[in-house]
Amino acid sequence: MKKFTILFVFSILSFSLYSYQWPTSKDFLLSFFGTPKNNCLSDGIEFTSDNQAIYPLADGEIVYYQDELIFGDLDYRGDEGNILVLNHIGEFKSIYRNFTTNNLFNMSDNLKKEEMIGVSGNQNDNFIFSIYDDKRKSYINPQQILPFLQDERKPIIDSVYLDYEDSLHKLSYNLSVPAGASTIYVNTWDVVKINNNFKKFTPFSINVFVDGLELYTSSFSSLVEIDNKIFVSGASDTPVDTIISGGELLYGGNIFLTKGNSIIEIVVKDIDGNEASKSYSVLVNK
Amino acid sequence: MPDKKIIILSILIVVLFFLLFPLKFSSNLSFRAKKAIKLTGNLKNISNDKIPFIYKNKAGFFSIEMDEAWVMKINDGVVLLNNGFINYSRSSGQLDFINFNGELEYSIINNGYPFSIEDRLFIISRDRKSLSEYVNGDQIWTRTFNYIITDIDANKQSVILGFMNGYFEVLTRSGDSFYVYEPGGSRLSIIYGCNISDDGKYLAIISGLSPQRFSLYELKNYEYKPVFAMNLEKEFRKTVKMKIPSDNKIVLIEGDEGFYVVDFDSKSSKFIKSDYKLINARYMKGHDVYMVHTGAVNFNNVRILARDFKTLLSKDFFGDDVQVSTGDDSVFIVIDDSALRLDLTE
Repeated sequence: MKKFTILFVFSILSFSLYSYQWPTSKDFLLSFFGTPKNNCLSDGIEFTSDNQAIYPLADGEIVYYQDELIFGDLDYRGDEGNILVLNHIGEFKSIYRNFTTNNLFNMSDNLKKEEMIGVSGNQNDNFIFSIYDDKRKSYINPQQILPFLQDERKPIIDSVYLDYEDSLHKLSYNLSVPAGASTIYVNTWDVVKINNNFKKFTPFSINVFVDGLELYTSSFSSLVEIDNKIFVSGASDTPVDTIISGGELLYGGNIFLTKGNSIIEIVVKDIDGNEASKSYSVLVNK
Repeated sequence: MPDKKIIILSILIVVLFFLLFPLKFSSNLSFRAKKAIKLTGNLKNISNDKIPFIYKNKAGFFSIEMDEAWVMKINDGVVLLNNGFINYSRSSGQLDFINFNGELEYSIINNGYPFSIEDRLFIISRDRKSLSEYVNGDQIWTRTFNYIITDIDANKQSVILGFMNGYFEVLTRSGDSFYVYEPGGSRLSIIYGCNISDDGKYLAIISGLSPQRFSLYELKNYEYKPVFAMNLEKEFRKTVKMKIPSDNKIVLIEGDEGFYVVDFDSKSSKFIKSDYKLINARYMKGHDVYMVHTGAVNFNNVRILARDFKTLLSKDFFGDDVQVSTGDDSVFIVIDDSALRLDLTE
């Protein structure tokens, strides 16, 4: 009986995980959810435009499409700007942006997962795939429901910086730092092997420990708007402005150091669960 | 004698009735071809009042007197403003504003899509979630939203945005939020169309699926209040075209096999049959009528509607991507590399 229950749960999990398909070839992945973009963070996965076929995530109802970009005197009928929104069982939507369409949506209200939506353009805009959760009114990281990338490489933590006295200081072994508040920024990235090439991506989560105590944790699970402000919502809610405050460096939270020796540990994970960590012992002066 | 009194009284009543409720006779209107101009020529500063046009892969201006014109080939897109234009290439990411003397006035580095409404220059980001306004090359405000923008309209003072999450938002001249609302009442909440009247008093919104609804909002005590709503028979799953002519009295809404007209004063609607889809609608002050342009591939119709929505004049003509605009008394048709001026006469 126990074996049967385990088998049943496993098959349900497998079905839910693999009933969704990547909308286009993973070989053309360009950036992940949460990548800084235009003073905000990408709400989906981006693919390089290379005339690749695009399919729905799953069967869905067409609830919005636009194959022309017309606002005011803007009358752009190219590949760019095209949008398709599908509504799926489970109160979520999949969103497809920037692709060449074949007018398929004019004839039907529903799309099957095997029906091609169009192809990624070969112009200036990359194909973007996003998932919007109607219940939580937020964009969720599509890789949380898509089949795994089967990536086995750990993220890279290149360097860690402390921001105090209005400048960034690279952490090194036994560095002397002043006591008090400072902000951590991390130069880190995920590495994924795609088409026999290694590409850099935004990692999925970061945890910061000081003397064994977890002081900051954040994961790129979803983007939610609260009172006209957009937050990265995951292990905790952090405003996007804060997340991108370090430019290309990933925000690692505010910490408070007291006099003596402290150990700062950074743990970075990718969406497949591969983990990298780095520890620094610092000398905190008064 | 009493008979005479009755007769006089009856005549008086009849006279009074017609004085109080005068009969409106339909105007006997006709189009009179005034002049045509070939749309050729290089960039020039047109001295008289001018009309912008976008026709297929060309854009430019011609004078309302039809004696001057210039035309340019559109690169990837074009923005036409009262004092110049941007003819941009998508690959460059740079938007050069050129005045009518051909001088570069300023460049904007932005890889979004530029467009103008009411002579205001906006740029929407490529992911369709940010909107900025520029004046003389300077960004005066920018807003980033967490939701895809599905429709935008503006007047001189405000901007209205419709979003994929079912909300619409009115922004002030400086981009601050003035009013946010989710119409609701449907199985799925998405804004399929939003328009604001030139005077800012009315908002016209198309929202939702099952049912898809039109709602009219009126500004009362510095807040918009819903004053009229109706379900639409044909549901669209794309942005629905709406036009509020400049007299701020009605809104025309794209429908299947015709268009709706909603009257702001009486809060009532009428469906007008048409073989083609709604493209444009303008108020013609000189005759107190509306010009409505409908069209399909290679087919067009221009009709003149009275205030009571009776069709006073209707003309079909051939042509693809035709642009129809108006002056107070004239209709301007851009077709086959020419512009034609038709004066409305009684």
